[in-house]
Amino acid sequence: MAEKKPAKANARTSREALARLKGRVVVVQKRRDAPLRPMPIPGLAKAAREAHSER
Amino acid sequence: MERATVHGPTDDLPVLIWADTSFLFAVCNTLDPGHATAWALYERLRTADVPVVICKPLLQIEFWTALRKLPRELRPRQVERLIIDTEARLGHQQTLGLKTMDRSDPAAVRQHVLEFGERLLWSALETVPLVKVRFGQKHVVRSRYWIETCDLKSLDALHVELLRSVADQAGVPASIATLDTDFLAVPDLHVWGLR
Repeated sequence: MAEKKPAKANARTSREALARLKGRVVVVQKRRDAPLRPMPIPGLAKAAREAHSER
Repeated sequence: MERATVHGPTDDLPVLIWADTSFLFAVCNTLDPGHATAWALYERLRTADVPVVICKPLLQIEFWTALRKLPRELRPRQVERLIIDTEARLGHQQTLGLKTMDRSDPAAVRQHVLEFGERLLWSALETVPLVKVRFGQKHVVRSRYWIETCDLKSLDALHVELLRSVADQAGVPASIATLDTDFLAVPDLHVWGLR
């Protein structure tokens, strides 16, 4: 009977997790520090809900 | 079958988190009913430098599906206003590079809506550590399992297949930032953004 592989321990940090994704990751992009400024976009919530039904 | 775990604002943040479009729309749009909750989560993730994992082609398709409907909800003057506001938010170094919109041309209106919408949504992802992952035919094929077992819509099923494969490879719990309650049907999934 083949030996069962031991369960992999969870990665404890994002650095460790990202290291395990080698080969799968297209790019890791550092963040831009200027914060996002959200804005009122009339109709978008409704458009997004309707689009969701098409997924 | 056990369902997903819903996390709240005082729970420890995950090591990595997958983002879907419902979360990004709510973060960017102050008129979204889920904006306050999404924004609070976004700020926590950004402050804690939690990497946000996405599949860019998948998000791109979902952005377009929603943005394509937006011109039906807006008057052309509102579209022009949104473009001006978006450029103001992107900062002095970025403009949308669009010609003056011909309000009578539906194609021009759609072009402008898709452009400002995409720029705003992608700009949200520029403010967090962003991890873009590849996907292939095998993920598409495997996503059918989530349609069958959890009755997910097709693109939601692909989200789940991708995020679980990434979580398995990374050795972390599968976590998603979303306002979409359909994901609650997925066992062993950690859902952020609903509380």
